[in-house]
Formats: sequence, structure tokens, C-alpha cells
Amino acid sequence: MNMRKGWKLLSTAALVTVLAITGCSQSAAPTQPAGGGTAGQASTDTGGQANVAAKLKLNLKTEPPSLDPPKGFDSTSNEVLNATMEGLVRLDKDHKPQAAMAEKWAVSEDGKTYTFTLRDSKWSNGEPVTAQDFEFAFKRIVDPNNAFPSAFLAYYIDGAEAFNKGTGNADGVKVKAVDEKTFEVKLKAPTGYFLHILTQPTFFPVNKKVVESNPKWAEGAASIVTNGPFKMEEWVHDQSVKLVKNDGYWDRDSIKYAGIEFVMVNDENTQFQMYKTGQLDMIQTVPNDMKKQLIDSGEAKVETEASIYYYRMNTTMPPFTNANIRKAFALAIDRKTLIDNVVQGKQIPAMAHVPLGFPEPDGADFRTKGGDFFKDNDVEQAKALLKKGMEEEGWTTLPPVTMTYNTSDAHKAIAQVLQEMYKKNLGVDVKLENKEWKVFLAEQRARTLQFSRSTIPADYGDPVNYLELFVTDHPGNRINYSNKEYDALVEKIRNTADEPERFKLMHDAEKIFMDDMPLVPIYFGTKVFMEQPNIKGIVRHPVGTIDYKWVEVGNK
Amino acid sequence: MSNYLVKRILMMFVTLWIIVTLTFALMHAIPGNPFASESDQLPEQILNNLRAKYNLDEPLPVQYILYLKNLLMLDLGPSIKSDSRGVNDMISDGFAASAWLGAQAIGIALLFGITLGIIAALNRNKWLDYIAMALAVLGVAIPSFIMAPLLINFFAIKLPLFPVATWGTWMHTILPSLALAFGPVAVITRYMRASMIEVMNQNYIRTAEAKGIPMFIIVVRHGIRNAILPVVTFLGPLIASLITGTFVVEKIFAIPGIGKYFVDGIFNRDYPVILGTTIFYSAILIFTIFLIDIAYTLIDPRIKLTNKER
Repeated sequence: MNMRKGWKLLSTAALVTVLAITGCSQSAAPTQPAGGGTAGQASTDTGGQANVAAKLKLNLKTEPPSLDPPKGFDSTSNEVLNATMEGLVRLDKDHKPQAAMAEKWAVSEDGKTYTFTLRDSKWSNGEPVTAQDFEFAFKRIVDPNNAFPSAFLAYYIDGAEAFNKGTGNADGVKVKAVDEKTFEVKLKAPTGYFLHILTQPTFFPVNKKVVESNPKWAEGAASIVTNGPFKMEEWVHDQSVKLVKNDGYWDRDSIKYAGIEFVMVNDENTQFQMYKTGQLDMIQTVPNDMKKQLIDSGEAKVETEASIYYYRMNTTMPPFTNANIRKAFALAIDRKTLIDNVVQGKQIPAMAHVPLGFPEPDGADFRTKGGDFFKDNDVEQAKALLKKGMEEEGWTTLPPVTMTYNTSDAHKAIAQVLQEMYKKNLGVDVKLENKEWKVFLAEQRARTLQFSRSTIPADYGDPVNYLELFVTDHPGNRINYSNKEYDALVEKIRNTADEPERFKLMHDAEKIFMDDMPLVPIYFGTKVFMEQPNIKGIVRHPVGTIDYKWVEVGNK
Repeated sequence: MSNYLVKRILMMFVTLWIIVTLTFALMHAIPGNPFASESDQLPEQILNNLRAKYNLDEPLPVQYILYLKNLLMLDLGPSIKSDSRGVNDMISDGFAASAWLGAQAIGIALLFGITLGIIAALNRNKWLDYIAMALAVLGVAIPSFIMAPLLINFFAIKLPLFPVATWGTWMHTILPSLALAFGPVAVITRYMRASMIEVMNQNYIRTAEAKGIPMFIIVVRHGIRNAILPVVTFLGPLIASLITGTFVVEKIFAIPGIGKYFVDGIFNRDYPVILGTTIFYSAILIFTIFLIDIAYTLIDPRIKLTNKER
């Protein structure tokens, strides 16, 4: 009897175990061998510096949300897209758009019509890349049924916005395959930076036949068809992406290594450990608490990125209705101290709106040329401006100010330091408030936040990218900033074909904006990264994504 | 008995339906939308196109009915954030990894937890007991996000026995399984010790001792059998939570499991992912509790599932 009960007990345990294990009978049970280490063994030393059989081992952090070019409007997707696909033009090592899928192009007298001549290049399925593919791809970007988030980047093309808004149709979009090798684009207005916009993954071609026959073409390695330096060999969702050199690519001779193996490790410390143990060749971020030490020791490197961190002041909410008070808030903080002690990524103190990283026609940087609009940590001036502003408004006490940031340790630390600086330098007690990210965004966009943070990376390589955000009622505005003169100037910039003139107007617009000072600019961003000594040639564009095309993997 | 089973299964579906409804309502009550992002410059038109694509432009009751309709076909819908896979695929791919780890962790937890608990109980207030209890206190006190990096540091960096992270071979599963099991080992040890002490003081154990039955047989045949019920009770929720993955351990070890979807889904306001993961977890939890209830009657014949049968 006891024995039988014992069996019952055992079978219960077995039942429980079976329940637990049956769930794992599927494919993802660890079966496949780790393929990561094979690259080194398979390498054939060519005697030179670069190891052509080597693979670059990188971390994507997360699953790329989408590898359908106009859909994947995020840095993770763009990183893979830029390695596997290519548009008409590609940013070179000096961040300038150069001939890529297009061998050459002609621009009409009025600056509105671009005629591209395509190269001989092949898709990863062996078919030639044609102008028809480009026409199809460009119309597809703005098709409202596709609801691509990056469709607005194509609004420069004549008829694109109307189609996207549902008032026009595909035929109204002025892009045309004149023949197999000639592709023509007509713009609404002369747009000096149009080539730069074309370097964005949104404008990468798609293989017409493939996309039309399989709407799910971009969902896996088996069906995806690309035209770039690398093609996809394997994509295990949430786990890894493997790329190999695409021998059909026109510039295949420039590719000096065999491929890329991306893992998806989303933990800062794990990523760092994998780098230290040589399982990763390069990491794009470092653990926050080690940042300063790693930069100081030279292990981590820093490059400029076109982005700005600022606090917005809502111009219809007191006390920020007054320009002098807004200026006082911008002048009263010590950016240098904040960066050195809290942010710690060698960021550049921002005393202007447009970040570094936008070259002018003569090659100089827009920011360097425009200079600073005020002095960092100008406490005396700030006090005077605050006093003046309060007199103008007839206030004896300042209306309450609340700084809002989205919940994160980094933003919290910055906000606390700013709070302390306002207390010490202006004698103003600022309240702090944090909100969950999406709640924060919803409220900021609804313009209900008084004093709130933002980091704005560039969408494309032109200063107007920043300037246009503060045109009256632009979705990027969010602080009810409105200046007729500024609006008119931005409109004029959009319609100016003469580049030196356009840049001059952009400096004028920035000056008007900084006179109104609806922002407290804090710093211009940097990228802090680490790469193994045998890796050369990774190109980080201040605007746009990271490019692995010119990498050389040396022998260790 | 069969009557009971039918009733019970019906109740399971009703419970699930209530959970779906509540989750649907709560999730839409949170402010924010799935399309907002850092450089959130999207014109209103594009937001409208996106809303239309995911039926978010319909009134909520319509969305609710649409969702239930799809759910009846076992279709959990597309993910708004990730375009490459639907929620069904995300869950089935991720569950394979999470369940594997969870099963290993449960195995480790049961093996060590029960053994340590018995050792502690039999050596009550002796040094073995203190060691076992000290381990148990540590296990409860040290969170997995400390345990996991410690394991990596010692067994992947200092002693390079295991890979630091990622997924692929059985070796990849060991450190995360240990990290996952550490807490439950502690809890099971404590449960097991307490109930074992109680059982060992019962008259029938003394009777057995008096009859001269060897201690080992007494413990295995009479002790564990009676002492294990609290552990079994704890096992239901434990199985459900371990095999459906954990956010922290999966993140640290870069496991392609489903743990992250529970958290990311909400951060991204990815409505189908929020609902899908919630339904999946609830279904597993409800089902394991059901199995555990049946298991009780097998372990302890005094427990009856229905009043009538008493």
C-alpha cells in the first residue's frame, strides 16, 4: 500500500516536471552550436594588415523593430539597414553624400529636378537594381496604407505629402523611372540638403518584384532581399543577425572583411564584460559609473554627435511668458561643471540651438561659425535679467516653476544639479517632477508641461532640421513658441536655392530664436564608445547612423 | 469528479475573460501612445495613418470586440513596435527559451530546497541547520540582479567556465538557471524545514521510530510525504512565474525569452503585446494552479476536490 502511494507521489512529481518541460520541446531549446568563435580559426592570413576572412562581432542591443527601410525609423534598424542596403547616395568618411547606387546625377537650373543615373549593381537575389525599383520604393514610402512613420521625410518630393494625406494619389508623386538606369525626382522647392536626406534608410530601394509578391519579405533572412555591402545570412529573432559580404554589390572591392555577427545584449554591464573578454569588437555605450574612468584612461573614445539636450520653457506659462526671465534661466547654470561631474561624456556646453555636425558649403561647421549666443554660467547677468523681467511683469515673487523629466537616473541627476544651481545662482526654488516616458511625451506634446527636458538628435544633415521644429504649431514645438518673423524666415530658407545665402538666413533665424530664448540649451551630445585595437575604419556620422562598410579587421 | 472538472474548466475561461477585459480597460487608461518616440516630430497625418493601420482609430468598444474575435481564433495580433513578428510568434519563440530556463531552475530549486530543508530540520539548532538557514536568508535577501552579475564575474570572467551571456548551447543556460533558482531554493528550504519539523514531532513518526524502522526510511516514506504539501502549494505560482521568464535575469544574460515583453510591452504601449503576455501568463498560472489542486489529492488522500464527495 505504501509503495503504491509512493508511486503516486513520484508520478505527481513527474507530471509537474513534464508540464514544465513540454513547453520547451520547440526549436529554441539550445541545440545549435555556438558559431561565434569560428571566424578566427577559419581566417587565412593574407600577409597584409587586414584579415579578409574575419567577421566583425557587434552588439545590436535589441531586436531591430523592422528591416523594411521606411518602417524601421530607429537607430537599431538603421544600423542593420545601412550595412545591408544602399540608397542613391551614401555618406562618405567625411560625412558628405557621395555617389552610391547612383553613379552620377544632374540638378536642374531651378534646383528642383534631380536626374540620377544608376550603376550596375545587383540585389542579393541576383537581379539588377533598376530605376523602377526606386520609383516603386519612393511611392511606397508615402502610401498612406503603409503608414510608415518616416514618410514625412519624403514630403520634399512634389505630390508626396498630398498622397500621404489621402488627398492625392501615387501617380501624383513626382518620381519617375525614365528608363532602367535613369531615375528622376521633382521637388516642391529647391532643397539644398536633399542629397543628405536621400542617405537615410527611408529612401533605400526595395526590390519591386519581391515586395509585391511577398508583403512579409522583410521579416526573415530567407525572404529579405537587399542591395548593400552585406547580405543577411541568418536572423534569429531576439538573438542574433549574421551578415556576409554581398558579392553582387558594385563596390565589393572596398569591403575588406567577411561579414558581421550581431548579438542582442541589452544589459550595459554584460555588454562591457563581453567586450572585455573579446566577444565583442566594439561597443557603442559604456557603463555610466565607469564612463569617466574609461575616457580618462583612453580606453573609451569620444566623438561628436549632432544632438542637443535642453529644457524647453513653455512660452504661455508664467514665468516663462517673459523673455528676460527665460534668458535668466538659460544663463544661470554652469554647464561645464554639470558635464564634468554628472554627465561625464565630454559633451560640449551648449550656448546655442543648432548642434555641431552640420558643414557649411565652404566646409566650416555651422555651429563653429555661428558661435555662442551667451556666456556659460553668467550668474551676474542672469540675476539682472531676472530682476528686469520681474519688474516688467510687475511680479514681486516668481510664479512657481516645475521641471519635468522622464523617469531615468541620468535625467534625474541632471535635474537635481540644475535645481541646485537655480537655487544658488538665482535664489529660485524649482520643483522637480518625473513622469513615465510615454506619459511625459504625451503631456509634452499636448503642451501642458512648463519646463521639460528633451534630447533631440538630427533626422537629417541640415540645420533647418532644428530650426523648423519651432515654427508656430510644429509638432516638435510643444511650448507654444510663436514668432511671425521666425516663421517667415524658415519658410524663406526652405525656398532658397542659393546655398551660401540659405546658410546666412539660417544663422539669422537662429539669432532671432536665441533672442527669444525659449530653451535652456544644456549640452551637445557625444558618442562614447570602445573598440578593440585591431578594428579600424568604423565611421560614425554626427548625423545618421554608423557605417561598417570601410572596416578593416587586423590580426590580433 | 468529472462534473467538478467541467465546472472548474469553465471557471478557468471565465477568469481569463475577466482578466482580458480588465487589462484591456486598464491599458487604454494609461496616457501615452505607442507611436511617440524621442525625436517625436511626426506630423498629425502620419499618426492618423498609423492609428488607422492598427485599428486604434476605432472606438474602444469596437477595438475590444475585434480583439476578442481574434482571440477566439487564438490570434494575439501584430506587435506595434516590432514589425517582423506577430505576438503569437514572439510568445512562442520566447517561451521556448524561458520555459527551458524555468524548468531547469525549478529542478535545481526543488532538489536543493527540499534537501537543505530536510537536513536543516533533522539537525535542528545544530550547525548544519544554521548553515542551511544562513543560505536561505541570503537567497531571499540577494536579488537576482545582484546574483546574476556575481555569477558572471566569478564563473565566466575570473574562472572562464561558462559564457558571459547570450544563448546557443546548454552551457549558456547554466548560470542563468542558477541565478533564477537561488531565490526559490531559499524559500523552499524554509517551507520544507518548518513543515518537516512539525511532521517529525507527530505521533506516527514516534511510533515508527519505536518500531525500529531505520531513520532514512521514516524520513523518506513518512516524513517527506507529509511535509511536502506547503512546498507543492508554493510550486504553482513558482512554476508559472519561472517558465514565463523574468525580465532581469533574461536581460542580464541576453536570453531571447519572453520576460522582457511583459515590461517593454507596457513601456512601448504596445497594446497587443501587453494583452498577449498577460493572457499567456494568466492562462499558465490558472492551469498550473489547477494541476496543483489535483496533485494535492494524489499526495494527501484526505484532501477532496469537492464537498459532495466527503
